[in-house]
Amino acid sequence: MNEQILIENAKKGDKSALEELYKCSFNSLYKFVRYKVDTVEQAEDITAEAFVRAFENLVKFKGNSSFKTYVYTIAKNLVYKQYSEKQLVAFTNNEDIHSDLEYSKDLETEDQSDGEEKNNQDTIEVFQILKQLKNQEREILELRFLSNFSVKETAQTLKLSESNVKVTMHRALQKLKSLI
Amino acid sequence: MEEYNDIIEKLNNESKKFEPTSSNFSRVKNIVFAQNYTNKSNTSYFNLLLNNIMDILKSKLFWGVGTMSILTILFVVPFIGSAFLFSNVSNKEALLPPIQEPSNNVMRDETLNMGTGGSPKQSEPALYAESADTLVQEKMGSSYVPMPTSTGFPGDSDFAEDTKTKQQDRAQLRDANLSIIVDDFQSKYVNLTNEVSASGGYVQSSNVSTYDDYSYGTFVVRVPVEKFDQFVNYVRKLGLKVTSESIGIIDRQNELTQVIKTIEDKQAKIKEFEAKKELNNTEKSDLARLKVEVEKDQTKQESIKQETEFSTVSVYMTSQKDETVNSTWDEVVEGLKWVYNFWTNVILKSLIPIAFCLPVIILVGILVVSIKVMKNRKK
Repeated sequence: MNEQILIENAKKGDKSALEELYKCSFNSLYKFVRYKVDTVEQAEDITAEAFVRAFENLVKFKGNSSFKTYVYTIAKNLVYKQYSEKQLVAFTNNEDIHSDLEYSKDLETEDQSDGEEKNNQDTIEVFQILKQLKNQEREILELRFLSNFSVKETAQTLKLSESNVKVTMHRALQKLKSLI
Repeated sequence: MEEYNDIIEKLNNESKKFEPTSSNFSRVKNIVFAQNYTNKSNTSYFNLLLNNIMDILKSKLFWGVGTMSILTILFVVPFIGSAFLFSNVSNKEALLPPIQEPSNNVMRDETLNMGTGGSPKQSEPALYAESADTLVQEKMGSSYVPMPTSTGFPGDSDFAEDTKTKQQDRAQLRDANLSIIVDDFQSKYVNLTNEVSASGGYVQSSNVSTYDDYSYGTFVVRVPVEKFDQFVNYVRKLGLKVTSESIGIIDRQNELTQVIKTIEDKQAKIKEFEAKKELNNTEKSDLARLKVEVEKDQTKQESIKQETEFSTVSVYMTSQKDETVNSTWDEVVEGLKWVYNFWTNVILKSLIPIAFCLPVIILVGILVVSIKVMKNRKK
């Protein structure tokens, strides 16, 4: 269903429209928040808070960008707010990463494969390397590949042009390749 | 992008690690939809109108452009304009009120005839001459006897020439026009009027105006004929500079002589009639007519004498203008003062029309915003 129509209906209080919007945006938003914070609980809390605020202030949303971008912006502000309040340092300690992954492992029903250790090592590498990129480059890669934002959505979120996003992404990948 | 496939694959793999589970989905959903979102249909015209107005007011572009426009209109444009206006003194003078031509009620005669039947000759301004007579004598020769002109005195050339009466005894209507520049207008004006009274004359008319520090006035005075030269000299010396001068003489001696002769002839005839013992009807009517005519001629004789007893002097007096060359900075300051005065007047004088137009402006504003709101609703 057209997102604009969904938003209009949601503004009028249509619960099914709200659920539809939630369903469309949840995955990418959760992944972004989870990537930024240490624990699953924090990720769930921040994601829920972002959706609650987005729905409460849906009236002010003019539809100039996608709903995903709108709720992403709220979530980003919440994450930064939490950083400043609790002085979190994300992904600086390998042990922390391992503990989180174990927690996630408990919740998942799938069996873990032997390749998990290698995957964990890859995770660490990518995290470390991404830090070496510039802020904008890192943000673009995070939105494109971690949160699965389209180029248009990425451009809207970061207030850049689509061509700028493509060029920066290309540059970031080039740098990333040279660093790996 | 094929060259980056391995990197992209790594990032995608990375991404999968943060995929939410169904539990995450459900838990968050329960939290989110535990709230009651009473999203009222806040799309009423009033709210949309308010939102649009607030958007415009919040817009930095609006304030930036608006402020720059206002500053440009208020200061830059008038300042540049006034800089051109005040770039030199002559331009400033162009802004002052036009100089009034001296007004006088007396005929001005600037032509002098050369001898009988000669064509009128334009007189030159008698600048700094001691007396008009001296000037005339110098120009025309000692044997010159001024002739009446045709300016407003009909029949002057119709009278027989009186060559017997000397120059100093002739009935002449004299007038002078002088323009002078003075330093202290008020005191010189007082001095002038005092001199008129001292000469035994009177001020026929005066007209004085003041514009900022610049004063100018026209005075028409009548002084006795014998004091004419002395008074004209006084006026010349009164000012810092004589900017123009003209002196004219209208000779009415021929006319006077003619009138006197006519009176004498008629009186002689009256005596002849009175000497007769008996008069017929015709002679009686002639006698009566002659007596009436004699009375009229005597009145005319008296009038000419009175007119020629006083001379008319018109003085156009102006105060000295500040001709000092302003420095550039002075001109800038003057320009700013001019701008300030200009806008003060504009604002004060605009208040009333703006007050009248305010309802229309408000209505137009509401109409524009409403159209915008309707367009947004359609979107």
